[in-house]
Amino acid sequence: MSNTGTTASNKSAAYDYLIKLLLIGDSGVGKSCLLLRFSEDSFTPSFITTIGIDFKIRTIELEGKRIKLQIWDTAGQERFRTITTAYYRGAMGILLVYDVTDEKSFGNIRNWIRNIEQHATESVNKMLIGNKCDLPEKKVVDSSRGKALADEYGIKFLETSAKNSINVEEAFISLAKDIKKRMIDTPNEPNNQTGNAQLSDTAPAKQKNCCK
Amino acid sequence: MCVCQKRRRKEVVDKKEKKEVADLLLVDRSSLSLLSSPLLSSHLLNIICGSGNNSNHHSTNTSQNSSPQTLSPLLNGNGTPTKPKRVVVAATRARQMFSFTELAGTDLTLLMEEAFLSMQHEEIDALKMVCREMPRDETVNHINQLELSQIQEYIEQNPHITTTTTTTTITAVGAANLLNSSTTSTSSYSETNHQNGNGNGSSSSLQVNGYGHSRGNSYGEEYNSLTMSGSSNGSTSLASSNESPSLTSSNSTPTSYRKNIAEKEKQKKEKQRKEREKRMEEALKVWTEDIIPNWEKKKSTKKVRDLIYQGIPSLARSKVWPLIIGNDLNITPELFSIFGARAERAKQKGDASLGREGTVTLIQLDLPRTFPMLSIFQNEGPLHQSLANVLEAYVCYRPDVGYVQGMSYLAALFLLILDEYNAFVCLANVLNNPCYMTFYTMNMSQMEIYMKAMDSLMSINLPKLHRHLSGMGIQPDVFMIDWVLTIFSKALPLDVASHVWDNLFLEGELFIFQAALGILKMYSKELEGGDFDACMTLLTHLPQDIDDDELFQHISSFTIHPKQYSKLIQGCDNIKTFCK
Repeated sequence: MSNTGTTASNKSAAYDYLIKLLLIGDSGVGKSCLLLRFSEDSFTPSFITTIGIDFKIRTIELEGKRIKLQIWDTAGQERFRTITTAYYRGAMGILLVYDVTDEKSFGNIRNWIRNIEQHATESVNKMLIGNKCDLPEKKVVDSSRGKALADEYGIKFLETSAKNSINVEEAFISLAKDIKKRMIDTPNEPNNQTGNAQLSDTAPAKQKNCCK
Repeated sequence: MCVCQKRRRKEVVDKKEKKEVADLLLVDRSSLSLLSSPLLSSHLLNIICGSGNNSNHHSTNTSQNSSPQTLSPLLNGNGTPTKPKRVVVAATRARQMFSFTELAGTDLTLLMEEAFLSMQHEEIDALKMVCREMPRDETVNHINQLELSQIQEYIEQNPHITTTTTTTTITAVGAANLLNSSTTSTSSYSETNHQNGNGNGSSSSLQVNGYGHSRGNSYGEEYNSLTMSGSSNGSTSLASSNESPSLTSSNSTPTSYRKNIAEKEKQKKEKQRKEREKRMEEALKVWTEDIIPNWEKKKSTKKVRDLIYQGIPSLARSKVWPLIIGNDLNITPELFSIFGARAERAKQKGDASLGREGTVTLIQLDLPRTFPMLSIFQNEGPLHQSLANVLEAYVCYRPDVGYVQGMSYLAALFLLILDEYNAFVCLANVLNNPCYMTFYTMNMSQMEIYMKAMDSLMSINLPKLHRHLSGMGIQPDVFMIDWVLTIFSKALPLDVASHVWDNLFLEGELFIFQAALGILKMYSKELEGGDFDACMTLLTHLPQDIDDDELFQHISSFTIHPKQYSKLIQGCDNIKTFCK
């Protein structure tokens, strides 16, 4: 069977829309924790490092429609970017995650955005996430700076805590809503194709070595 | 005393064997951190020597006296052990008495310190049992941490713990009461087991088979009598009794039937595990007496090959892995310490150097995220610093590669077996291979050749599955990146991964592909019947209860000829070194 297309034509499919999301951001900002909180509503302080990519699904209901979210989680280390950028193309929405207690991860958001511009489809919906907001005493990136950066790129912004389950649901659902709206408005967009990540297909070797 | 206990005591006490095992383990400097507790160290010594008489480590006294008072001869005025080397052996032995599966999700690595103080051999056996019984989530992401206090409480509340060789179940008075006071019968045992399966960690941690003494419903009685009558051969008698009409008539509900099947399956697994343990015990003798002393002569023989295929006994790995891997790079202890010192400097200097020395700063973040279920590399864990030392030295040794996520898993598994220096030697020599280097340097054009090789191997050996996966756009890279970078140590249960490593070191990198095919074949039914989501989920999160024997049966059903492999990876640099 095939998952081609965003609207499930298949009668047996248990969803009306399929939305593919991608989580990117520096290593250790909590991407996998956000995903675990959203997909299984749990949290563990001793998380494992994501190597390469990870994959989880969750089906939600939005305005009477069943929306299946396929969420791709990526390794944060810079060295993995040649691999992970191969997965950008199929994404309809990207969550850019930084750690509010780590200045560097916030500074790197601009690099991540550059990556998106180079590898993802133009229409991809983006959202800026400042994770670990449960640690106010360690916070170094003020909310206003996060908001300002998001505004600069014209994208949404939320501060979250995967640990305390703050805004996690909201972040994913808000992004999914925007994507659903876009899909209804522009149904024939190329991005609304399957685009399952294929290493050989994207031929990263042909790309400029932009993300070493 | 049951046979099992006798055997264990014999194993512990048999001086000659013990000394050899001890010699094998002397290298484990990593356990030095455990010496911070002299009491612990001494007690662990007791476990090894089976004696409370610590002034004489060669004692073959079989007494089980492990009273702390007898420990003083071991300690000098400062309360630190006077024979650290021997104690290190003890600590390591204690750790290696547990399989990784038993250790995972428990506080056992920390437990060494306290609970072992009051434990008898049969209690350790029982504890191993408890650890295996612990319900664990499908993914390692969810950790049902079995807390030390619970284990101790359990041991305290159940002074009559015994294990039997036939049914290998713990028969403990009041065992079922342990966590759920309403759990007094076999049936409620099973039900709570189901209910708690959703990961309410603390309350579901200890699931003990209390059916040996249950007086519950009809099923419990049936089962009880079955177990009793079948005491001469627990698993087979149970298997046949399952089909008996009386059982099915009185228990026609699907739940009890399912439970029955599950029990049968469990008994079978338990029997297999026992058999494996026995095999390993025998193999250990062969390794220590015959093969290790004559390694150069024996290493290319079929016997060694067969033994390695079976899996190297965990107690022999610390000697055997360095032998198989060798040290072509001629790394010396001096070199290791020089790179350690350079790493210290790199950490202070930051990113200033020419190579990727700056990546040492990334290591710290990954240490506690490496095998977190073992609690051993956490910030306060006994091997935390060792893992940092090995990885940092490696970064300075290969600044062209630097630290890449995935390496921490390799170094960690080596450290679970070897001391820091040997772990470094093995890590450096294993990674010094074109396949791993291609992946660790993320050389995309070369990686693609390996991915295509895997794709071809799948299309040749598992054509149906290959068609199914590629039809959905699932390419080998979704699982191969993880499997190659961590050499299966993240994807497979650690005991199984170690077994794969045994073979990989002998056979060379093509065994990666063989093992990968084995895994795919093992799950081919599920994969072929699954949609995109199901396949992706399975491939990125393999079940954690993979059976070693079953997997190796699948692995052995494939043979990849070196010539075929070299043809597949044509175009890769330095292909000559692909297999040993």
